[in-house]
Amino acid sequence: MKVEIEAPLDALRNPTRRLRTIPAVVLAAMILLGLVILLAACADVIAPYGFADQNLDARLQPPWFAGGSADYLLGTDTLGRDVLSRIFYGARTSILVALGATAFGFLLGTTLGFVAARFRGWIEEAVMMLVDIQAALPTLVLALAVLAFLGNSLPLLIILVGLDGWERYARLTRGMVLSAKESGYVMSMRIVGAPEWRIYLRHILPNIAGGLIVQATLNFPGTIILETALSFFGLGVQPPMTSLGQMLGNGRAYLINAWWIAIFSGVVIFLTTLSMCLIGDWLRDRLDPTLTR
Amino acid sequence: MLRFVVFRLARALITIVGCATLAFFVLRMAGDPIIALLPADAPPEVMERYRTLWGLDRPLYEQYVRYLISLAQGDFGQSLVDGRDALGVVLERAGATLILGGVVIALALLIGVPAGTFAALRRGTPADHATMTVAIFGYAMPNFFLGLLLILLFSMQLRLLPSSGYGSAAHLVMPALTLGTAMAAKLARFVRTSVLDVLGQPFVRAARGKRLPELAVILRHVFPNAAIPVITFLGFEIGLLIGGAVVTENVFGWPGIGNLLVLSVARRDLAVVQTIVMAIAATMVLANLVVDLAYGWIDPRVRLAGGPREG
Repeated sequence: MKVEIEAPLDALRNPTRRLRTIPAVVLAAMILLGLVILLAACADVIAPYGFADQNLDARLQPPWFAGGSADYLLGTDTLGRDVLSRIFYGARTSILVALGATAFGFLLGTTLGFVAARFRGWIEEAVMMLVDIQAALPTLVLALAVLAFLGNSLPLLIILVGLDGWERYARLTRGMVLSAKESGYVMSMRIVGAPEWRIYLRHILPNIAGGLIVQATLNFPGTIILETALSFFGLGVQPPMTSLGQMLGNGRAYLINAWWIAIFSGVVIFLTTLSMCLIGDWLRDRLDPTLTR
Repeated sequence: MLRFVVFRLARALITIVGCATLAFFVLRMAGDPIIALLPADAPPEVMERYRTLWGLDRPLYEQYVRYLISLAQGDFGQSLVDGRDALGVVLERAGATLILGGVVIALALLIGVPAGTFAALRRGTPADHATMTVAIFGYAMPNFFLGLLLILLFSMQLRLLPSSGYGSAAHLVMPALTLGTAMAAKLARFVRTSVLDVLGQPFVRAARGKRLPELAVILRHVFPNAAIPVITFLGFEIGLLIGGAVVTENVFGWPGIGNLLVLSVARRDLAVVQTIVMAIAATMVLANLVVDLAYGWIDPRVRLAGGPREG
């Protein structure tokens, strides 16, 4: 939305111009990310095998280009499961967990940030205290402990991964709402007697949404990495379900004779986070006019 | 200044107590450590005995108050596995983690600051783009994957470095690279932005105008002014460094606190896990306290303004 405001008039007349201003690298990142999401979403249709289908006669087959057969393009793992199919399904799990976690952290942090900025006083102090505590406890450490003691479930995993970063949304929201409260448009809304919820939801929220979305985009790679790290330790997504991190963690023991189990899932994780980083950087530069580049 | 320090100290203490509270309740609610620790067929009398021994038969609030009191007395409880003092078990491992962390921070500073400054001074040139491209690759790379790639290359293919262990400089190379790459990359990007901000200031033009050599302009005028955001960044980065250390230490079998954490979590050694969480929280709070105080030392304006939040 903001992009339109900033774009010169002729960009509106000629819509392709705005597309052309996307740098080639960012465009490539968007296509790559889109491809990963598409393949993950269509896992049921395009995966040649199920993610748990075992073929004990075809264990540890190398990829086709390393002397394997075309039946298993990226080889098989220790139980004869097709690595390519598992990557599709694993990517789906990883992306879904990361999306769910981002939504959870975003909602929690933004809500608390609004509450702190609206009520001030001891409520604000309490929220900022929670923010300080969260910032002092690396999520990976907390999540490791909780998952190991509390046992594992997918909702719990999503909540724990989502806790990573809520304090950043809360800080950001509080700061932006506080400065918005002093701004002219909010003052005028108050003067004309608009109800408070309307000012916050219909006027302040849309105005700070840009910054929040950028923050979410910048957070997303870290969220994916956190999920994959937990699954890497065997504490995240549990078998028979699979995730990219779990495949990487499993493949770690077979690096010498079956490198493909770990490496391909690692490459997909890396390409996903790299694309998100490139897109997030570009969005931030587009939406933050104070940044000189 | 004194009021500022006292205020910061009080806030730090409250945060640490908050972390202790959180760790206590989350881990206690997570389940009965006795069931996890004793064999499933242990007779009920034995379970009761251990429960009384460790005070787990008391109501939760009483356990919590006792826990806080013993914390204040410096007693972190005993390892449920071998009955040793939990703090001692953790401190024993601290050395390895501190060595790794120190080398990583040094590595990140040595690579990140020159790279970021270089890119800022050559802004918009291919050299700038190349540096920043390398940086974004570095920080998008998950550390556990980088670690595996390094093992595959240096230990298995080239057979140059040991894939795990502790004790010599060769053991340190791959863990430090694994953990340091992302930090150096982020630092380079951050330094670039900070230096660019400062380069646009009038006093830099003035310094250049009076024909000060470029190196002197950078060292005397640009760096001190670009340092504040960079130091804040380092304070925040400590948390990610600790999280990353947990992963890296486990990939490379580095006998530090991160390694102990995963081990203790698997053994359900409540006291040790709690102590590690406390130690990490205390480190983070302390690091940010140092950052806050360092502001005042580097930038006199902060002291006058009364606090860095406003500054």
